Amino acid sequence: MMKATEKITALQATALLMLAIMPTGLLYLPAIVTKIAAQDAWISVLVSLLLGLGLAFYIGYLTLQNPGMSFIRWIESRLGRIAALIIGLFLTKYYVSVSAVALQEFSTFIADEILQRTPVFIIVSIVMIVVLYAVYHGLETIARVTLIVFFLNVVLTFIGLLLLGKDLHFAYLLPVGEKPVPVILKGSISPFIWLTEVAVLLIIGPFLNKKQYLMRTSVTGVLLAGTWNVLLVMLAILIFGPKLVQLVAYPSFAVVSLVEIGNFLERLEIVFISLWITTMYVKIALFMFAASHCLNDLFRIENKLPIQLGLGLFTLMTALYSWDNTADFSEFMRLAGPPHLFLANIAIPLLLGIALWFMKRTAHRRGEQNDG
Amino acid sequence: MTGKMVRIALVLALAIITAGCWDRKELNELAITSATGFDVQDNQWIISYQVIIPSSISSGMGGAGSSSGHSPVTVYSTKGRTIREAVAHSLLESPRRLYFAHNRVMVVSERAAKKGLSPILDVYFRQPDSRETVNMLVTKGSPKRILEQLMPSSRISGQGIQEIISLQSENGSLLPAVKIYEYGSSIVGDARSALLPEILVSGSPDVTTTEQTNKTSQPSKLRLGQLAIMKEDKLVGWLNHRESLGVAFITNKVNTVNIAFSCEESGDKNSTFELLRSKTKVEPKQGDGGGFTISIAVDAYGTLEETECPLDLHKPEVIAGLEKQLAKEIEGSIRAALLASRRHKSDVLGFASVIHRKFPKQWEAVKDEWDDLFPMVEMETKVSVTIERVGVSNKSFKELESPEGE
Repeated sequence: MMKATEKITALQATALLMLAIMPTGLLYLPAIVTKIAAQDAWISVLVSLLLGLGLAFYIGYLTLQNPGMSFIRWIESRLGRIAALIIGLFLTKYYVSVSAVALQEFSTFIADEILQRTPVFIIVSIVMIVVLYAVYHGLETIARVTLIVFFLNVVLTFIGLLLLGKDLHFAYLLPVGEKPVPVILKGSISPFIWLTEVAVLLIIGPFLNKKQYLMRTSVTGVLLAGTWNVLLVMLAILIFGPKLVQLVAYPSFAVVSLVEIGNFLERLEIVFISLWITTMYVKIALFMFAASHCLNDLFRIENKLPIQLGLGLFTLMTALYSWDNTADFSEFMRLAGPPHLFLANIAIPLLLGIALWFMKRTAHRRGEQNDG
Repeated sequence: MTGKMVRIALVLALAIITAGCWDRKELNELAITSATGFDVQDNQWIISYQVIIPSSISSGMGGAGSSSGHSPVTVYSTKGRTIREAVAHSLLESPRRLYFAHNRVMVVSERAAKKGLSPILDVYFRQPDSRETVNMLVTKGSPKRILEQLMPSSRISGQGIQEIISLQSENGSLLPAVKIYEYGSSIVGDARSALLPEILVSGSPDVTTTEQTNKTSQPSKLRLGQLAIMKEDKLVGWLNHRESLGVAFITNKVNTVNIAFSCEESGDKNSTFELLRSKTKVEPKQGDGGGFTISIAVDAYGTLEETECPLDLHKPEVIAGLEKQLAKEIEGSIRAALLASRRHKSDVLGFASVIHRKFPKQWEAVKDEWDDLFPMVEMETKVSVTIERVGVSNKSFKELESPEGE
C-alpha cells in the first residue's frame, strides 16, 4: 500500500508547497499586480501574503484533523461515500486543469523565449513524459527531487540578487501609498489566489512522517512563496519602474538579462530559465500526482499506471487544445482562473471544515444521549 | 550489463539528435550582428547591419598588424515598410540568417528619431533574441556610415563603440550610456523625456578598409558628440557638453569628471579639478501660489589636477577660494541645463518624477499640463565642493618660476 510505504519529511513538504505556488506566479505576477497598483504593487503582494498565511493556518488545522488516512479515505470515513465521490471527482478535475494550465503556461513561455519554431506538441509531450515518470515513482521521489530543485533555486536567486545590486532604483517605489486602499486590495487578489494552492497540503499532508510539523509546514510554505512574490514584484519595479514592467511579458527573466559584469558575465537569464524549468516540472508533477492519487483512491485502483497514463494524455490534450492562442488563454486566466481556484482551495476546505465540525457535534451529542 | 550499456548509449544518442529540436542554431548559418543602424527614408525603414565575418576575426585576434587584409565585418542595409519586414528582406541577399543576440549598439538616424522610436522599442521588447541592454546612439547623418567606419584599436567596431560610450559614461559623465530599457523607462516615466548620446564620424575620408587601419593615424574617426533630447519619443533638440554635464549633476548621474575652471573671479580657465564623487539631493517645494521650486544641493569631492595660479595650496583660505570658484562653475552648468531644457520645453531633468514622489496629490492635478508648467518651475542651487587633495605637488610651477619664488 502506498500509504504505508511513502513518507516525506516536513522540509520536503515545505519545499513542495512553495514550488506548488512559485513557478507560475514568477511568470505573470509582476505584470498583473503592477498593472493594478503601479509602484504600490509590493504592498498588494504583502497584503496577499497576510491573507495567505491565514489560509495556511486553516489548511494546516484542517489537515491535522486527519488521523493519517489518505485524504479521500478520510472524507469517506467521516462524511460518507457520496461526499467523497463529489469532492474526489471535483478535486481530480481541479488538479488536472491546474496541471493543464501550468503546462500551457510553460509551453507558451518556452515557445516565446527559446524554441520559437519547435511545435508546441513536442514541448508539451516531453514535459509530460518526464512528469509521468515522476508521478509513477510516487510522492517520495517527487519530494526528493523537489528538495534539490528548491535549494538550487534559493542559492542562485540570492546570487542573482547580488549581481543586480547596481541596477536598482529605489526612487521607483515612491510615492508609497499613492494608490487608494481599495486599489491595493484589488491588486492583492491574484497573488492571494496563487497562494491558495497551499490547499494541496490536504492531499500531501497525510504523507508527512511527523504529523506534529504539519502546521509549521503549511505556514512556512506559504511564507516562503509569499516572500518570494514580494521580492520578485519589488525587484521588477526597482529595476524597470512600474510602467515598463507591464510592457515586458516576463519581467522576472528580463530583470536577470540586464546583468552585465565586464564582458563575460552577461545574458544570465538562460541560467535562471533553466532553473525555473526544474521548478515547473516539480509543480506539474505534484499536481498530476494529486490528481492520480485522488482518482486511484476514490475507486481503490491497485494498478495505477493506466490511470496515470490516461490522466497524462488527458492533461496534455487539454493543454494543447483548450486555447487557440495566448489572448484566449489570458482571457481564460482572468475570468475562469480565480473562481476555479477559489472554489477548490477555499470553498471546499471551508465546507469540509463546517461539515466535519457538524458531524463531530452530532456524534458528540449522540454519544451523550447514549451515555444518558 | 551489456543491456544497460546499450540503453545508456541510446539515451546519449537521443540527446545528441534532439538538442534544440526545431530551433537548433548552427554557428555557421548565422550572421552575427555587432551593431545595427535604423534610418527612415520615404516612409520606409532602412536597417543596416554590421555583421561579423567569423573567418577574418578568428585569425590573428588582437594583433593589429597581423590582419590579413580581410575586413573583420561587413555592413549591408535592407529596406522595408516595417522594421521586421526590412530584416526579413535580408534573406534575399545574405546566405546567413541575421542573429541579434550579440548586438551591442544601435545607431538611430536623426530623421528616424524625429519620427519617433517606438517601433524600434516594440521590436526590441517583443523579439526574444534581441537584448534589452543594447546601447542606443543617435547620429545626424547616415547610421550606415557609422557602422562602416573601422577602428584600429578594436577589430569589431560595434563593440568598440559600446566600449567608448561606457568608458565615457563611467569616467567622463558628459554623456550617459543609455541602454534601450533605460530609454524605455524614462520615456514612459512622468517626464516622458529621455536623452540619447550622439555619435559621428569626424574627419574625412571614412576609414572603411583594413589598409587604412594599418596606418598609425587615420583621416577620420568615430567620436561622441552632443546629447539628443527626446520628448515623447521624438527628437526635439540637442544639448552641448556644458548643458549635459548640468543634467548629469541634477539627475545625480555624475561619476567622475574633469572640470576646467578659473582660479580667479574672472579670467581664462587655467586649472583643472578631477571630481571623484558627487551626490545630488533634489527637493521640491511648493510655494503659496501653487508653483513649484526645486532645490538642488550638490556635494562634490575630488582632487586638484592642475593649476597655473601662483597660489599657496597649504593655506585653507586659498583652497576655500578655489572651491568657491569650482562651485560657481558647476552652478553655471546646472543653470545652463535648466535653461536648455526650458528652451526645448522638455523635462529631461526629471523634475516631474521628483514632484510626483513628494506631492502625489498635487501631481495628479498638474500632470496633464506639465509641458506648459515645466518652464515655469523655479530652481535653487547650492553647490558645495571639497578639494580633498592637491596632488603630489604643493605649489604651482608658475610660482617657482617667478624671480621672487623661494
